Amino acid sequence: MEKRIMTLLAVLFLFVGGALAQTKVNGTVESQDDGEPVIGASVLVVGTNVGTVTNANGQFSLTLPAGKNVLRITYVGMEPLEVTARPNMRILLTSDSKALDEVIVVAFGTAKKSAFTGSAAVLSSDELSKKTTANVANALVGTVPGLQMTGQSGAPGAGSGSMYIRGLSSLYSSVDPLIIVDGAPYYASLTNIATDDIESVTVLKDAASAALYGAAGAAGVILVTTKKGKTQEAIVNVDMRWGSNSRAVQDYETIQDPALYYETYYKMMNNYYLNQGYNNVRANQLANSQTLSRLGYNIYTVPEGQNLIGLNGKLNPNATLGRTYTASNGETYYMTNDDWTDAAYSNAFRQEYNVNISAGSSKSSFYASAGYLNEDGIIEYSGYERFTTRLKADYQAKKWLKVSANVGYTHGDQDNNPNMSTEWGATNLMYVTSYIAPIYPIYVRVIDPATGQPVIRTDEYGHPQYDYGVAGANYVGQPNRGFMSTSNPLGSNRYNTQNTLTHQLNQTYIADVTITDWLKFTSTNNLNLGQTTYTGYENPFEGPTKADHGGLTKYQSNSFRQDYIQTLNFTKTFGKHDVQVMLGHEWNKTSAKYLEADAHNGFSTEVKEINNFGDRYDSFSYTTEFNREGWFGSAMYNWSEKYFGSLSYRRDASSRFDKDHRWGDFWSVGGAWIVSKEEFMEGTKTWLDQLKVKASIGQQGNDGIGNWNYTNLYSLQRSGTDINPVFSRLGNSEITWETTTNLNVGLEWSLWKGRLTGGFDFYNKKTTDLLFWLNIPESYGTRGYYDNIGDIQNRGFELSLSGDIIRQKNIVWNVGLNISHNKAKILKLPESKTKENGGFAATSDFGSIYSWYEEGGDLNNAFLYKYAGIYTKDTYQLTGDTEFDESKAGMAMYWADEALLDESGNMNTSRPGTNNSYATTTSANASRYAFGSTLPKLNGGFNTTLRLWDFDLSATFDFQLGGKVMDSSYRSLMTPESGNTVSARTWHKDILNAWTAENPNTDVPRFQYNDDYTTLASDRFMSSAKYLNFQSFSVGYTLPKTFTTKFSVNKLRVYVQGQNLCFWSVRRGFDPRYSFGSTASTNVYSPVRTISGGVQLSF
Amino acid sequence: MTLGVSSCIEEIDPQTSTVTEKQAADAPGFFESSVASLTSNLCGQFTYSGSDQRPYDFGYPSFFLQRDALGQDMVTAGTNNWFSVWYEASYGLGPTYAYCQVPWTYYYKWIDNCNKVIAMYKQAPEGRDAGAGIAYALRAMFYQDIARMFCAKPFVLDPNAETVPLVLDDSEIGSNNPRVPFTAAYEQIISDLNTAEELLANYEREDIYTPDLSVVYGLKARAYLEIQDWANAEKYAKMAQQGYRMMTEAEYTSRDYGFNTPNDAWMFGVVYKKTDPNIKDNDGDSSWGSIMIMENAFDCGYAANYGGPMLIDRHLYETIPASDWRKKVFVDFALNDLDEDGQQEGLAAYTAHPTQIMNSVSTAQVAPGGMEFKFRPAAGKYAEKYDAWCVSVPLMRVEEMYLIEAEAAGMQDANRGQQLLTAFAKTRDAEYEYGKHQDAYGNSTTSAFQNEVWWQRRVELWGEGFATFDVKRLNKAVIRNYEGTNHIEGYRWNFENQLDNVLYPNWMNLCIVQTETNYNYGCTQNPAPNAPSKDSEIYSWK
Repeated sequence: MEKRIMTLLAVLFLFVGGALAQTKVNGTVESQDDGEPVIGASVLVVGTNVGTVTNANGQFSLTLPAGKNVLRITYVGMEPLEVTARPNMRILLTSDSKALDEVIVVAFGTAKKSAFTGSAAVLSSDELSKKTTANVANALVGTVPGLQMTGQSGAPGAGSGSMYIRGLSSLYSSVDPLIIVDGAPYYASLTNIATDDIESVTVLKDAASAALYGAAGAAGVILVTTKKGKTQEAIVNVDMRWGSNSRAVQDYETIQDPALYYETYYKMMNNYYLNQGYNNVRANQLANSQTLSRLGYNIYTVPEGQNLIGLNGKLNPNATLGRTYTASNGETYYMTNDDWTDAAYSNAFRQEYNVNISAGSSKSSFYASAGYLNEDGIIEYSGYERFTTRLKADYQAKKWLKVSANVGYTHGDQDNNPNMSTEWGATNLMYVTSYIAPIYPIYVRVIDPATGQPVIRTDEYGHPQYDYGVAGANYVGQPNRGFMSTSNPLGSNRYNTQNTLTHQLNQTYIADVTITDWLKFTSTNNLNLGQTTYTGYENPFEGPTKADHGGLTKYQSNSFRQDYIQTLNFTKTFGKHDVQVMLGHEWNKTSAKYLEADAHNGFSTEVKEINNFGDRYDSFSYTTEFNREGWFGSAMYNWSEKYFGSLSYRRDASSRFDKDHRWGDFWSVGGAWIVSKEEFMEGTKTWLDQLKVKASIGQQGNDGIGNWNYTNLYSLQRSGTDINPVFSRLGNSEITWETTTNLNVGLEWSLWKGRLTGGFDFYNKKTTDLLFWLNIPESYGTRGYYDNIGDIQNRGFELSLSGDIIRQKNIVWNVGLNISHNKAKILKLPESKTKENGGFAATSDFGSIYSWYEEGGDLNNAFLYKYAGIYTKDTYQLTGDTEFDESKAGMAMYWADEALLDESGNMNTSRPGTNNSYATTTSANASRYAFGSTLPKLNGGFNTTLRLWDFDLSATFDFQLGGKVMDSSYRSLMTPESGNTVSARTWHKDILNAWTAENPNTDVPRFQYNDDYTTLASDRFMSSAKYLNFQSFSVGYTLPKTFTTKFSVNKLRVYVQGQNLCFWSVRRGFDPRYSFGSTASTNVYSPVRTISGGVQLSF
Repeated sequence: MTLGVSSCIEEIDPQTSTVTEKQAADAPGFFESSVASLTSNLCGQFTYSGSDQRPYDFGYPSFFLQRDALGQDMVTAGTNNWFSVWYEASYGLGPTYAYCQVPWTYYYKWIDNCNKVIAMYKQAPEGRDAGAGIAYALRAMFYQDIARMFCAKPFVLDPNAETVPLVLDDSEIGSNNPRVPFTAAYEQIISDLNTAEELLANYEREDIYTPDLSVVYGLKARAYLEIQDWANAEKYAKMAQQGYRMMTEAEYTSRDYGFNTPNDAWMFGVVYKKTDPNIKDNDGDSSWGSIMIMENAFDCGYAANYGGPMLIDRHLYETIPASDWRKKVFVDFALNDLDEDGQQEGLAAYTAHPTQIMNSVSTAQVAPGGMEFKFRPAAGKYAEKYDAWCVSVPLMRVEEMYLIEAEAAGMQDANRGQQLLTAFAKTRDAEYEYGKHQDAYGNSTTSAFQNEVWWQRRVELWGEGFATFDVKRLNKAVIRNYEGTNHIEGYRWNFENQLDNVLYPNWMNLCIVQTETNYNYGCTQNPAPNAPSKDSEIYSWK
């Protein structure tokens, strides 16, 4: 019922009750569509000026003047209805989709949807309430066509992933959309805003809608609007939900059985020794000893003098799991394996409470809310607690002056796990648990002399001792753990802590001055104060900081952001001409101060303050500032609400550019035509509610390259007590905005009284004067600088459809679908980057895949080796070998293009090959090839809502089709070891199907130690990026009002919701949502599954 | 809406450890601190990656190990050794990989720092002689290093072999700067050294962490040795020796100060400080001490605790006579045949902490034979985290000068050379006899005398970064597979017959990173490493 409530204030009119009261009638006005009461509908006795409005329950009562008994009920968005009055009436209004004209939030104001010439997607609080997320950005995926997100983290309190609106609009500058909350730029995490406080989210995608944000809007704009009070009578809403978080990520199918793991490792070594020419017996011996010495730990007890793995490649039948040994320190240790994944993750409790109260009068409105969220992480010792309050009020102080204030406060308390980096390494828990060979213990175990049973060893303080895999400190006398010795993320989580406390106070003060009825001045002033205190503590009991007697890192950062906007609005209607003009100015500045101290050698383990530490070895402080200023104006015109035109212009300056190059001009022109209003369309009236054609073009800017790239920089290095400058970066004073020219053409329609609505947009975004990172020969002591050279283009379409398949009084079933397609192309590149090789190769910023860049080529054009199959008796000729080389049998082959050989016979891998001239088994001889765009072809989502009497149900899905992602995780799970550096990772089960003389019909190359090139980064590991994600569902039941009103409760709804429920991709464990190119960075906390139940109450 | 109203936008300058060129130039003592950064930047700073995740990113001494591991003298043993990439001639040394970029980034950054100081000096020379002299001397040192690392052929085979591009002034950035031939590179190097010699004539340094005139002489001696100008090599080696004294046995084998504290033999060095990122970050594990120091009681370090010790080549070790005290810094291979108790007992001869070393042995899964105890925790503070690794590392010792003098003299007059060499060797081994260390390593065109000097250099300067330079200079084969070898299986390669008379393996001509060749159109490339897939046949020493 949001829309109906929203327009209430506009139709308020007060009636004087008739003096000639005769007959009393009463009744309820409800919506035919959903049976909800219509609040604020006007009820007028026809032929009189007697009337009233319905109350919050849709009820009305009035007294009929004598002789009058016909009531006319009107409500914005509903078909007017005349009925004969009688007592206890139930009046059903049907919606009038023509009349219904949504008002949406746009740049620096609001606009009627029909008059809007741009392209925007709106998400209402209704839709948001169906999702369980602490960060509203997560609710946009699959709902907003053209928006993609990668790398979301499920860590409690985490920010959003990277959002891309309509493709990748830049190569080297930021492609993050600009986020505006209640009119002012917002740089903090959206996690700081309670989703329950949000009225709507508007995503602006084209120039007509976003060019007013000038410099910052090239990558799209997300407008978040918080709720405000709007009812006449106070309404209190309470929402309480309780739920459980669980791990949503799937694991790859890896070897988890220790015996099979040892056998597989043995096989890798044995194959090598056989290939080196050793006989079976000798190879078996060498492979056994290498397996144990490389893996470090033997967790099987094998009878004296016997090998762990027999000549048949199988575990010795006499071997038993678990091994005891007595070390030189006299202790008897016990080694066995543990399930790391199991120990790392568990289900966690989540609770959230929100209460808000809203009220309004003809002069003022009021909204206040408080919320509390407490969410435990699925990894122990992590969690997030958030307390939010908001007070938003406005007051018509004078006839000409309206003031409003919106103050939101957030307090966050986030416990992070240490070892949560997204790099592949010891500091990534997910990496460790997913990749560790299934033979390693979590804890150091000893035999308890009293019982003879293995127990976890404890230290002098009674702490269970974690195994860091370092012999001296853990399993005394054993080799180091093969896998990531010195680390144990579970132990670090247990004894180390990382806490982030945040306070954020966001205040917006607005004054509206009505100068004349057609001229209004508005001053919007936003002040945002953010404070973060971080405490990182490392324990003195075990691990690397034991020798430091504990460590502490403490930092505090304070940020202050100011944003001042002044606008002058002119609105006038002359006959059928409707003109709106706005002029404005914006100035904003962000200033952040950072202070850090680091110390070692703590006294108490309970005091996590610097004062508790003796060796205060380091300290830091710095200030960062950023300033932007803009002048802007816009004009909107329509004739008879049939023809619409809009213009906008903004002139912006950024402190990121040199004085002489810091101002840029941005603009847009747009038009729309509501075809259905034309006379010649009269015949379609019965089925066509609205048909709108729109087009816009404009330019936006991007300055997202970080500060001071316009000048040469030195970095200061500390050396003892000295501080010395070292040249660090080359500046270019000429750099200025990169410009995106954005064309949008679209259609919007509504059929059969809103039964089927939809929109289609085509866009072409051309980014010119790219802020390009130009390399210089590194022999000049630095690697490059920025310049404005190069063009790219994103082109695509978006389609959204929504239809009521069933629309009856008690059953409404709606299905919605949106899809978008984007293709990114490189139009122009700097000559210096293409002169030598016709293009250049670099790791793409979008998905860390090595990519080939050439004019006319795709963006994210994978530049990889090309797999040519397995070297066998049937294929060896491909390599040019004149006879079959037994020692290469089963090796992976890669294509080479002989045209790329230089005069001394070296393969040039700086440019792509075109021919498959011959195959090779070594990387030095192989060519790289360009495989084309890795970006998905189609993205989208579908959702359905169903209302059955008092039950409501909704579900949303998102999906992706086309595109490829380098499955780096799978690749490393298929890689044999090489060299004397041991990785001791587990392997994917596909490795069991590797090529052998006995298993020749396979696509997996041989599995042999020291084969460096078995899994080169080739197209073999480019996996289809298609996926389907069951993102959320919600089932609710609203108790009958007749029942709840007995308890003065207006509405009582109970519900169950789920988030991130199920995920399907081409390979179990493979999640192409992390990035557009490669799964190389593995987020520890990939999206968490949340199932919760709750109660919503209104009274 | 014109520029007239733009006055509200503020001029914002950095307020952090990054400063604009103008802020730098306005800072008091900019020239002096720029000069200081030339040497303070030599180690400790993560100059390559800026982060602590690459335990080979610890500055100048890292290149010692990178170069030594390429050949035969150093075995990067254990299960967790970051320098295996060089030892294994991994494809990671190819032009598209980070390992390949490391020397390029480091050396040209250092050269750039020198160029900037020289430019400032040229602009306003007044009172800046010493600073400029240091910059000229160091630039010559850097170019000498990379010329030898990247040269496509040794000077002895081709004095016109390509080395590296020269950048002497970065005010104009070009895109066609070919690699210069050996002769041109050395012309520049010697010219820089001549300038440095003039500018440093009256300079007195405070400590050996900054080059002075004697270091310039030393660098000249190295340069003339490389280009076989024997007379000058001898002359400058002799001049460089002034004021220094060779290390004594006590100094060489000191358990507290061995190769971590400057003494009268050190002409030039670097020092790791407690404030250096290499030491502060990542528990100090990404520093020289972590990689090279075996003794350690705080459970950190690749050499001591993580399974990555460096071993001496067994053949080299076994050719050192028992009477030569330099042998005492390497563990006797005979220990390998003992049981654990025996090994622990045997280790007591090298260290006060044999139990800990036994732990390192089991951790690394290597036998103790060949482990080095040349580099020790600072001042013996083996239990003090961070302090233990705040060590100095020598970049130039007077011993090298004696050996250059001997070699250069011998190449002019065999007798004189032999006498000088014998005199040198006798200080290490009282029973030294000339003529017992003349393995030709595949190249019989080198004189037996030069082989003998080379052997002394390998023993005396092990781990100090000379192995690849000498192998290339003398065009020697690398021999890793012989009876009893301690080289790692799979990497036991012998090279005797390479193309074009080059005997050493091709990856000793380091590849140039693609970020150079792609944007410097005139720059050619060396072949990417292509390691043999099998061990070589066992070589027998004749």
